[in-house]
Amino acid sequence: MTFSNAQLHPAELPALADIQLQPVADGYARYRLLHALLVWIPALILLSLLPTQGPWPGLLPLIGVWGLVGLGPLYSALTWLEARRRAYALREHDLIYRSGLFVQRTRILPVARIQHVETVSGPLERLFGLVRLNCFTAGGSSGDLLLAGLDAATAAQVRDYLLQRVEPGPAPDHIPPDD
Amino acid sequence: MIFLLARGVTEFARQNLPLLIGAGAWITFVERVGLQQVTVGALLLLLFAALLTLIYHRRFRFRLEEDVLRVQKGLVRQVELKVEISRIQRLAVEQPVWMRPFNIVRLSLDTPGGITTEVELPGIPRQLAEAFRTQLSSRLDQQPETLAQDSDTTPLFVITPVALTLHGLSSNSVYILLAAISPFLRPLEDLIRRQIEQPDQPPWLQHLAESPVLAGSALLAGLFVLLLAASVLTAWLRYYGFTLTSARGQYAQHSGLLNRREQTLSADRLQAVDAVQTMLGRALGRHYLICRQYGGGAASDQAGANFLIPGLDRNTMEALTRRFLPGLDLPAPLLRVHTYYRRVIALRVGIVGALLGGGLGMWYGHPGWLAVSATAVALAWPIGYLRWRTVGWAATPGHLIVRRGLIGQRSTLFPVERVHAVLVRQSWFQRRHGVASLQLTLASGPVVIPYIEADTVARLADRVLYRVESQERRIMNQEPTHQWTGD
Repeated sequence: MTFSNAQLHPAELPALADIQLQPVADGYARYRLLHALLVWIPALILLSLLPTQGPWPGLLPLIGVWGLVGLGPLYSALTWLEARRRAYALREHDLIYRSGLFVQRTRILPVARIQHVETVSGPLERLFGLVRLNCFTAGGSSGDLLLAGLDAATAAQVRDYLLQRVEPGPAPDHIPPDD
Repeated sequence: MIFLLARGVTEFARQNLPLLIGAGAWITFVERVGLQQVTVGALLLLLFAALLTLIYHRRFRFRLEEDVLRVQKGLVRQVELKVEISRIQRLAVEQPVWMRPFNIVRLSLDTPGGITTEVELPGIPRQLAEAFRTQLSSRLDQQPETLAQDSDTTPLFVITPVALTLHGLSSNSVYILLAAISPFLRPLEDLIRRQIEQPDQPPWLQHLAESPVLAGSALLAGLFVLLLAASVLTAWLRYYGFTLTSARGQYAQHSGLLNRREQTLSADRLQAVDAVQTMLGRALGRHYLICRQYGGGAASDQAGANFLIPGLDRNTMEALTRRFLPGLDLPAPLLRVHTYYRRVIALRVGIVGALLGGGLGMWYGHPGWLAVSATAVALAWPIGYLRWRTVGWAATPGHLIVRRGLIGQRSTLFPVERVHAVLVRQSWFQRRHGVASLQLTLASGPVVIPYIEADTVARLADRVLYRVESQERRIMNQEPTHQWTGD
């Protein structure tokens, strides 16, 4: 067994700042936009139909109307922008995912900490060929990493790689994404 | 079987308290249901419970095999649990006072999977539990990753009556008791008021009734003293004779006045150590330690699932912390986070308080609510300053220490290799001012260092990841690699 004990300088450590993150799939921004519209518009229509009672009559319908014409498009635009900025990177020993527009979050999950991996895709995501990759750790929900916005082929590749690293052994040829 | 029945009934009553209260109220208001019917109903229910317990008891089986504990149980649905012995992280033996004459105990154990995988062997003979524990310890000794520490049975810490009393005074049981009795405060106040308004009361009580301020103060003082006494009593009941020992890579604690409890913790399963000082604890110079394991973050400190060491002075606390985390170098003082943190906290408190007061004022149309806004704005800066002052952190070559708290303080100390995930968070304000927050997730829960220089966050994250990933590689390959030399 060879033994090495070379001294390392902090500057020689692999740095997060040097990583070139890859943007998520193009269709993810469109999916998020459609998802936002499908959630936001019905909610505001319902709000505008509320009865005009209470301390300030007509306030809630007013909020609904203004939300519909002003906040709805703003929310959708922000969602679209945020989705376009999402990016990830797979290194030899960890998985990195950046999300957020105003509050940016960069989550790094060492591959050795992954307990199991799950791929999920809803009907709307399947319409855009997208898959979510959920990596679970023993650290509870705050330690898990949800990599959203991968196309099905990339998600399968990343999942195969992670599974191969988590359980050393021959990697499966191909695992189709879950329906 | 009797203990199973008693436990089953008390558990049912505890979990369905609202239902029982509702049934009691219904019986009280429905006139057709008399005492006789209630007695017959209760007896029938008890008979049914006894029958269920008998079936449960007959179907409950356990066996310790080569390296697996196998438990079969269940009433309608049979469940077979298999617990790998190497996965056990905490083992507890409890002997409630009513089990003592029969020399039987309750044995429970936790695995890293969380509370759903907890296994309990209720009501087994003490000798069997002892033999079981010895067998488990010998099996754990054979595990290659178990620490080969000393087998010295000299106690690491024995609590004194003074330390126990001080822990009772300083523990958070006061607030828990206060919360528990809060629904009864109003009826109690009404009862006392009616009593002291009676004409034939002694003169001092009549004098008290004529002075509401004096009466209120006396009531509050009396309540406070009562709560403190109850808190001390709770501490004596729970931690009387507390002894901490260490043997063969495991820590064991024994305590309890009526219900005797013995807990065992595997040293190599320890994730983090929390050093806690409550508000009263700071005044009395008392700390307590909590050894965190997998999934232990959600339970409250005083919950039985936690490995808590009570009534420590500063020196003992530091010595035990070094013992739990070998190689720990406790720096003094800790580093402070950036002053932007206090500004942000002050702004948050001020804005939220002002909006809340203003909103309530507009809603109710009463200008008195604006006092809430004024108070929030006035207190925002002191709160921000105090919050900022208590947050501290330090990175030693092998460990990280993070302190937080406004009135009480909690320091989390953990080996860097125990980190499971790293999260770097930057708001637009933080990006503009070159600061960031770092969240490190442990198996026992997340730890956050807010508002430190973005460059420091990046260096710290790189270093943590290097330690975690090189450690894992070393374990996987069984081969030593590079050593980090520190900043």
